[in-house]
Amino acid sequence: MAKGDKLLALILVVIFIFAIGQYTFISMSKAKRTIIIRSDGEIVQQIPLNEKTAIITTIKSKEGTITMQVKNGKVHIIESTCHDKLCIKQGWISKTGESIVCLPNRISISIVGEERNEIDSITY
Amino acid sequence: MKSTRSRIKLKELIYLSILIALGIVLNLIEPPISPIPGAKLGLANIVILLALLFFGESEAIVVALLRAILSAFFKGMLHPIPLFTSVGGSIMAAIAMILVYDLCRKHFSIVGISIIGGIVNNLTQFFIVLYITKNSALWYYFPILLFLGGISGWAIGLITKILYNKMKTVVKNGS
Repeated sequence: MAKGDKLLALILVVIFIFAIGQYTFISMSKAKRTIIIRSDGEIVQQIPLNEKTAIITTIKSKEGTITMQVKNGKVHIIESTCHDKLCIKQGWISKTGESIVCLPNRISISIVGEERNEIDSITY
Repeated sequence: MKSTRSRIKLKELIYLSILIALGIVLNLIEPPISPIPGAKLGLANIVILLALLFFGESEAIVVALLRAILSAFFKGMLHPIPLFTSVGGSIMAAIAMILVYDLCRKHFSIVGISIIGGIVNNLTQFFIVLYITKNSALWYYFPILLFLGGISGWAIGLITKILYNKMKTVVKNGS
């Protein structure tokens, strides 16, 4: 094993430990979950997510549309005008931090820990 | 003299075409890996690495570029955004591997070069997606993407090393 290879292996181990730590830390958070929907890079909708949320909604962008279903505290995509359908294949997301991205449609759906609003960016 | 040189060119052309064809097939048949949608091992990087080892820098770039574009054709996926992420990742990975190969070959084995390629591929795709969606929540996936890029680079590197050693005599004698 060359010197650089060993260094790379070490870096990978460090990244791995960091990733494990990060995901454990986030999964422990008890903050209320919010679904944030972005279309063409802009936030278009925020929906509080809990076990009782039950919605089917269609999101439009300049590129196309997708239909999202929220049920039992989980989110998935049921319809999309995109070609690869990766967003549908991804299935359900429910944990804080998780996202579904429909790249061809430029739409992304994320579950975040706290409600984010415009005030956040201007508070010091 | 002139005919020998053109014969060398022709052989090289044939080998590069085979590599590109192989890359397309590998990309088509490889299964997606969880947990991140669309994440793949990146088997097609084998042919980029082989092109670099056997033929050189510009050949590797050409293989990377043509492989990514033709793969999209075969999948019928010509939407500009996924095409851009795929071609971008492929090209940046090829450039990173070329730089490492040229500048510090002594310190890195084929496996090491491939690990760097895998990480750079995922980094590039991540930042393109981040730029397109403007969604900062995606940073959640950043560490795992780096790690998976490195691990798949490792696997690809091991495969490439075996193939390189097996093909060495054939390709060198042939051209």
